[in-house]
Amino acid sequence: MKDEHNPADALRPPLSSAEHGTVKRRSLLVAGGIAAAGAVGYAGYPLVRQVAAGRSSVFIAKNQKYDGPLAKTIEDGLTSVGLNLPHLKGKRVLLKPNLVEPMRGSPQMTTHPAMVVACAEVFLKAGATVTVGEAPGHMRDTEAALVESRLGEALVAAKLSFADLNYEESQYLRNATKISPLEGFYFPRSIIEADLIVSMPKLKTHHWVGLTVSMKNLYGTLPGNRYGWPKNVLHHAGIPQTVVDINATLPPTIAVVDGIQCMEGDGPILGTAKDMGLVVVGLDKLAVDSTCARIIGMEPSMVTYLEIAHKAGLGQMNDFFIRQEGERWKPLVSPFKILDREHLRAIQTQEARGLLTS
Amino acid sequence: MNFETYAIDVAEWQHVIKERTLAVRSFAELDAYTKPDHWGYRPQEQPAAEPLALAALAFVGADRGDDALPLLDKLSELQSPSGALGIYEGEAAPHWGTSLAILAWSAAIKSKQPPADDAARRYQAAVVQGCRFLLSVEGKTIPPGSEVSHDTMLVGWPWIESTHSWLEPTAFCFLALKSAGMRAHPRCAEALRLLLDRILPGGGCNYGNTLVLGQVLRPHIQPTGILLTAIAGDADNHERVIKSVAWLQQAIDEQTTAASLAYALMGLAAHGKAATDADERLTRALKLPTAKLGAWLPRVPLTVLAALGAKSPLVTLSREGAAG
Repeated sequence: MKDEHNPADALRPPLSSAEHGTVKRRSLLVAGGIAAAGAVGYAGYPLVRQVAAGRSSVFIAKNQKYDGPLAKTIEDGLTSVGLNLPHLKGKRVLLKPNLVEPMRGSPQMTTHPAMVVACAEVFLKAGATVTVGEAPGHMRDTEAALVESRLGEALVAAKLSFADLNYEESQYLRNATKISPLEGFYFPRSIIEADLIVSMPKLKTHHWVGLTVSMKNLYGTLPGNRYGWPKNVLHHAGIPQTVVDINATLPPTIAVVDGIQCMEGDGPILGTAKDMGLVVVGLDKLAVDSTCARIIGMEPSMVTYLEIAHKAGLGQMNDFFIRQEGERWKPLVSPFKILDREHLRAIQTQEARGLLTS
Repeated sequence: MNFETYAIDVAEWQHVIKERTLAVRSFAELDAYTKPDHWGYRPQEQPAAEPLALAALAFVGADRGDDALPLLDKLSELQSPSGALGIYEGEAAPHWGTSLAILAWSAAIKSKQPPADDAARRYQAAVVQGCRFLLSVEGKTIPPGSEVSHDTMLVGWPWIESTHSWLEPTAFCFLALKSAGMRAHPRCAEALRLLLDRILPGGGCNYGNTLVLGQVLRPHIQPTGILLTAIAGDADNHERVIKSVAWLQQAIDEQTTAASLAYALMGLAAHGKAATDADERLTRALKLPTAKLGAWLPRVPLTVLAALGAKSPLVTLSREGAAG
């Protein structure tokens, strides 16, 4: 859906109420990797920047189950990639699962409730205040998304609070990278006020952009009441470009990926389940998503938004600059089937070639 | 059905219908909307077009026209000189709340207890201005291709200006124009074509895609209910509409939420299929543990509107405004 129109005009706030760029990025709560994630410009000297930024750590745990000790796995992962959990005492942490369009019969579409509750347990133990927040992209009735995904009942049982990001009052922030034509983004109050956001995606194929993991999941931080259902403003402005812009503009965000039961084929909605048993954790979302791409048989540099994010300095994409914690990724490679479409075939690695579905 | 009648029923049958009290209580809970601090998506938040319009519609439907007046006036304040209403005061965009405000004003004007002449004139002027704005807005068309199966050249209404037409905004704008007596406008004819085109082959609809990259998408309860409400009286015998009614009837047997169920019940009532156990269903939905989690669609006004069944202002406006 290429479009010559600049949708930025539709998103400019009224001058009287706008607070352009007044929200400062909070001090990073992490030791290491994420410091490399600040956008330093689309042009520049990528190799020099990568070396200067140092390596990002990505933690992988295998043989994971939803009824297993997931909190321990996530805590180990966060610690090993350099998150200083004790520093989160008294801080606000927002967990962002993926509930784009849940259906009871397709649990492979949404982040499993057990992952969300386990992750919350880790941050609560550290003394943080935890909220789960989501702005489902295809459903106006957010409660229905909570019911269909079964996340709602898990949150009630765990006494966790929920923020309906589709309807919260929002604040306009300038687009930090301006790769898309959008001048800025409205983010809900819970996002703006969070000291740390945890992107908690389901590892899935995506029929437009190849795969959706922690970076694409953050589309769901934008309120539907300002972007629509679907968030068509972003589509018209370019999906890869807006994925990068949103990631660059958000407060500090890390990734905890539900790669236990994943989705292959016609993701992110209609694909089929694929059991991988993985939990992937990192402070550098680009490094996490690139590693996930390699595991499912995709070449990160051929995934447009990962490549753009890499060039924009949002993190590490090259394997050489990604330190593996926990399991190595290479023995875990299990290529996902993708739709047999021209724009997707190019992103498959040599090993994955031919794994196509109609 | 008004609240008074309803209350008498409850008093008489309280021992039998204990479980129904939650749905009935929604009529009383509308009282909260007499206070401006309840005009936002959540208490204490700034007034927003959608909760204001739905609460005003519920007051009108519950024969509490006087209580609707402050909300209708507030909607007028939200209306910009272009005729558009943004989500919040002082914002002209995104403008998707405009159709809901038109429906609220129209319902009040046409109610059994219409506002006094001066207020009615103001609301009528707001309706005209709002409709003029709606007619100036077009969803973006997209040249036909193989990616999606719906007719991308049909013009309806978008959620956000300069984007594609989607199902729900088109349904509400179509219904708003019907309520204002503009069903004969060519934009309505095209909107109806678009809405029918966006129904899934097996009935029901979602946000507005049918097939993407060759795969049939899944229907959802809320948009199907909204669609059926909006097109009532205009295409009742269309094959996909009949299938949608059938799909919705079985879909609400699954556990669902108050907001989705409310639109579903209105959609069914609009097609002569009012659920006889609507109160029990609504009560069960209101009692879902997830209702406490704070998803923000205005549950109380929607429940009231659904409990009114075929007498819901959204249903009557649709049927009375239909081409026939």
